[in-house]
Amino acid sequence: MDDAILLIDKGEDLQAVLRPCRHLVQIGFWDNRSASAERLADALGFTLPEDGQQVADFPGGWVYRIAPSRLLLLGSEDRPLLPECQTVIGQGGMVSDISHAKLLLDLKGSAAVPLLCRGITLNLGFAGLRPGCFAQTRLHDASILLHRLEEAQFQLLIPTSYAAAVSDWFKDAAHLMRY
Amino acid sequence: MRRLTSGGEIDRNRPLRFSFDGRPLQGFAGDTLASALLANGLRLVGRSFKYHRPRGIYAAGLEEPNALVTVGRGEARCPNIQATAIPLSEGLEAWSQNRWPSLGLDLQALTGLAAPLTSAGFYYKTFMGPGQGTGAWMVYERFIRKAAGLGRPPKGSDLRSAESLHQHCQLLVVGGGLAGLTTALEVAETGISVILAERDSILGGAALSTPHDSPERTRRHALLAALRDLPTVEILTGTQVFGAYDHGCYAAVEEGSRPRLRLIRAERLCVATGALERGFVFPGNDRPGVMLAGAVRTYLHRYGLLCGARALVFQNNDSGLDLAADLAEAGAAVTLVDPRPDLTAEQQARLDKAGVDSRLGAKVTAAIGGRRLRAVQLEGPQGPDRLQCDLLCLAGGWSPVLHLASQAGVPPHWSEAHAAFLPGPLPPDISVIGAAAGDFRAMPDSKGKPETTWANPPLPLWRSGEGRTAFVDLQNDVTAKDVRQAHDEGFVSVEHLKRYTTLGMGTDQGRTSNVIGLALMAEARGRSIPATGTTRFRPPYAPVSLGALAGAETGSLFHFSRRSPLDGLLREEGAVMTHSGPWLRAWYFRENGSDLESATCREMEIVRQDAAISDVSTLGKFEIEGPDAVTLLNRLYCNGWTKLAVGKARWGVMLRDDGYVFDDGTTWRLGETRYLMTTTTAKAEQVLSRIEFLLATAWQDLRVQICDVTDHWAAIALSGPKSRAVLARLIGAQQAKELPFLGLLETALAGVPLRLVRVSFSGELGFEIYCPAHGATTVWRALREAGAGAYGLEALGALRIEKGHVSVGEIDGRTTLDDLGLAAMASRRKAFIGQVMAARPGLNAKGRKQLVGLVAETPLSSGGVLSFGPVKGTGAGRITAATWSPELGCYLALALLRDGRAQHGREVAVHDPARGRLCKALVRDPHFLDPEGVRQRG
Amino acid sequence: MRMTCPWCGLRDSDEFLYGGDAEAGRPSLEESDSEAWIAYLYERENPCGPHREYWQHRFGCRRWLVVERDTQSHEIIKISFAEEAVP
Repeated sequence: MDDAILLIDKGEDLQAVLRPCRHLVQIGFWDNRSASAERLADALGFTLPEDGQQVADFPGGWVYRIAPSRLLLLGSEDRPLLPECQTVIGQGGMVSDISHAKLLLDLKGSAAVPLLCRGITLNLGFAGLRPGCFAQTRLHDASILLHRLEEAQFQLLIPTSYAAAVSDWFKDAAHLMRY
Repeated sequence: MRRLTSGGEIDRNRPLRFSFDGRPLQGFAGDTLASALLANGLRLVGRSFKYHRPRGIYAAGLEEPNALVTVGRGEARCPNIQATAIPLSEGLEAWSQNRWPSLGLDLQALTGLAAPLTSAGFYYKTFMGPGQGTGAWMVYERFIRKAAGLGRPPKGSDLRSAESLHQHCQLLVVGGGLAGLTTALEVAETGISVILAERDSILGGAALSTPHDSPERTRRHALLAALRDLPTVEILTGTQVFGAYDHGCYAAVEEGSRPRLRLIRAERLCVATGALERGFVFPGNDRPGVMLAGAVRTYLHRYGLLCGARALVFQNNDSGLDLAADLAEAGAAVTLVDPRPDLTAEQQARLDKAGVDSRLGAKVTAAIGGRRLRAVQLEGPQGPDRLQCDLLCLAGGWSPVLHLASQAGVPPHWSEAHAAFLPGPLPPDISVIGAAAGDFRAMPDSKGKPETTWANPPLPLWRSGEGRTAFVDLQNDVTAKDVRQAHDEGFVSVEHLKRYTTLGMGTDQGRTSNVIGLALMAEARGRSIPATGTTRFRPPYAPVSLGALAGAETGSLFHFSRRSPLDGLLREEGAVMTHSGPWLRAWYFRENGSDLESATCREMEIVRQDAAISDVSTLGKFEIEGPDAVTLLNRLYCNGWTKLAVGKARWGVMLRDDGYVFDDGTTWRLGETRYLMTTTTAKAEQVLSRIEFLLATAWQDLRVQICDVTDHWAAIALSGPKSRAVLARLIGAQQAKELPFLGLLETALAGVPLRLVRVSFSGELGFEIYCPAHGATTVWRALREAGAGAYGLEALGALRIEKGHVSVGEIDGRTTLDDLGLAAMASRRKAFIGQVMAARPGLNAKGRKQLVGLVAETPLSSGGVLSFGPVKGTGAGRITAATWSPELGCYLALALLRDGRAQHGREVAVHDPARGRLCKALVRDPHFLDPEGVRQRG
Repeated sequence: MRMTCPWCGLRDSDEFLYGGDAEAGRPSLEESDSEAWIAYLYERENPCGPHREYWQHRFGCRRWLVVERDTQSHEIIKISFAEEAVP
């Protein structure tokens, strides 16, 4: 499962690619305000997000604060996040490798927002989810994390077991939009 | 009735062909089916619900009670659509309903002659009364259902491709008349995001019913031009907002060949839904040719259609005046009838100028005709009179459309001055404007101040004539007499009136009849209308097709199935998949066209005699870590965890708070404070939520974290006497040999990290092999190449029956540890969930159903009822799981049997009424195979 | 129905999992009196008006919440993390 799968290719209008996560690490802290979290932020070079909306970034990755006491780190390049996190966190929290638990779905194009609005109840328009922010929500039965990179560019984290169903849904929705 | 040569919103250069009852007809682009039928001179378009009376088009919008048609044919047909709500399209096929053999000659109209016998409550009294029982109803129902009722629904699936959208805005304006457009413009210009939804295919509302040079039309043009380029407003036409739900959620639908459901979340709602006109109650008021005055004006100005040559306008307020003048100017001979004694000088001058004859202080007491109106009976200051006419226009007053506001919780308040219900106190996020707020001025503004002074106040008049055919609700054939009868029989509350007479039911939901029915009930009771009450409206405002509600999520998209990372490979190997909770799992492997039974037997034999693998990636898997992790496990499970060593696994059982068994699974100690918990496939999600709940509430003091790694780890069960040899080919003989029962091993295969645990679900020597999901196919292939066969869910379930392992069939929320023979599991040295409630007397009483095994020579099936004599009630027990055992050569079952452990050795009768089977089985210990566990300990 | 998760923001109710009455106090695990457990498990007030319930933001941050809701008007009065709402 190293290869990216091109789900939809409609040029500027819509592109969807499904690919594995290189590095995905979930960290749970014993408390909402944790010194370990601050240490990790210093070590990797990000600012600990204050809420469940802002995405923080560090060289080669993103940080989602998925709950007050939980961080999700997505490494975008060959930087082995797991040992680095384990070293910094030590006994200060739980570090779990979940790189195979999610797949990444890259979605971009002018039709990206209209397409997402067919399944996702979030406000992606006026006064809604802004670029640089993320939201955890559902697409039917699947829990997903939606990260808006640009106005019309998203990356979604999809549970591996739901990836086939979610891919089918995207293709069907694109088809209904006459793509 | 004729089409004018100019005017209206129709395009005379774009003729459209359509058919009605198979007869080819022609209309224009911009027509509705109703206007096109009228333009073709069709007065008679349907038969009434109960009496099969001939009916014509009565209104021009969603209030239409009569003109219900079926659109399309075969499985694509859609019944009970109002002809007034169907935009005409090329090739449209429409059919009249509720007539036999034809619309013109309907033999069932004879029931009309028996009308006195079939008044309100007819069904209840005739078929369900004392002495009749429900038997009579069951006999007659099919005849009555055939005679009464509406169109026939299609039986197949909705073939249209439907879609649904989620939308957000700050203000949702419902209604695209002048009031709604004005508000949308004013608000959107301030930078607030607005969605305006209009049911009609074009914007303008009542302005479209005015002459082409009217000030309303001019204002409409100006508003549309200003709105056109405003980026903050989205205008949806042909979109009916049909439901208001809690916290600013609204549902809207576009029907048609491509239904589209919109779920709109709005911070504020502006209701600009206008008002609907009412008629009057008098005999013959349902004759084709009797129409609402506003509708006649709509047909005149929007569709260029003059609905009659000799017209009579009957009004009790001023709203019929414009129509009377317009009809006269279009060439009709017009008489205005008004029970009020005077008109203002200005009004009189207008009528005189247009050449309208007026009868003041007069009312219509009856309409005369059969399949079309021929004359009306008048009662005036000069006594009774009879006038020939082919069109009678009723202007009985206006009812604001308050459905949406009412759904959102706004109570209706009766206004005597308006003779109508107006919106009561509004919550801060809802406004009601225009005619919906009682502002009946032609040019409403966004303030929506209701009119309180009238040049010539309306006269409350509901009923102008008496007789058997004086209808209140045309769609349901409810007459003034029926309302009176409901009152006399004690059904005086509005809700009872509706249910007893069916007043206000059906596709039009009494839009033209509710207020009149209420007024007549108030009159009968000698009370005021507000004291008589009104009903609160519920969604949907208008019928919504099920296909539109289902949206695109049908077929395989109806439910998202979870798939194992081995899914594709298993299918390649011939796996037939089946649903198991949210998952798709390999059911059995088809080999040389084998069926379920033969494949399952083959797979079981491989496991018992050789070695085989099964995909168990669906098990719930949760990493648990923290200084208090062991405390958490000790509290969750009924058995103890303190002594579990690092590198070992243990089987555990959890109880619910109420003492019944919740779930089971093995949990592994990976490190000093780190564990991997596995759960059953079925309960994984519930177990996770439950643990998170306890950590967030009662057990906040525990320093522990949990992470769902179900999708990260694939899992493969390897079972069979030769499984160690298979494993040895993967990880070396030494490691395979040294792994003790319930021992863990972390190793790797071709770069794929492996976690192994020696456990057994089948009773044979067994291992579970875990690896990160993307490596699963590599590991599966390696195991297959090392000589392992493959087995599916059916064999997995059958093997565990042979071994007597409990699963979802037995852990069904009604069984205790002791019922399942697991009482020894419970620790006495610690407190755990469910401990106290499990000790309740009722959960430990004699007579509880206990797990037993059954052996039989004939097939057993789950659900079978057990008894030692004749079955009384639910019998002595039930079968929870059953299979054929190739190993033992007989049929086996697990069952829950009353005091079962004391019945070993007895013969029990097994009843299977669903399959019409009765057989005998021997009760015994459920561990059919290797009760000492020699095999699994290898 | 929509609810504001203190962590994730305003969401549709179908992202949340209902978790029962939050008015009933859970006995400590050491509580051996079955009456206390019976009261916790089975005895409910069913009030008309403000009422506290547990909900989990199942499809969001997975936090357990205490939602104070008016059972008559459906107005959401207050939503807090369960950790903060449970004494």
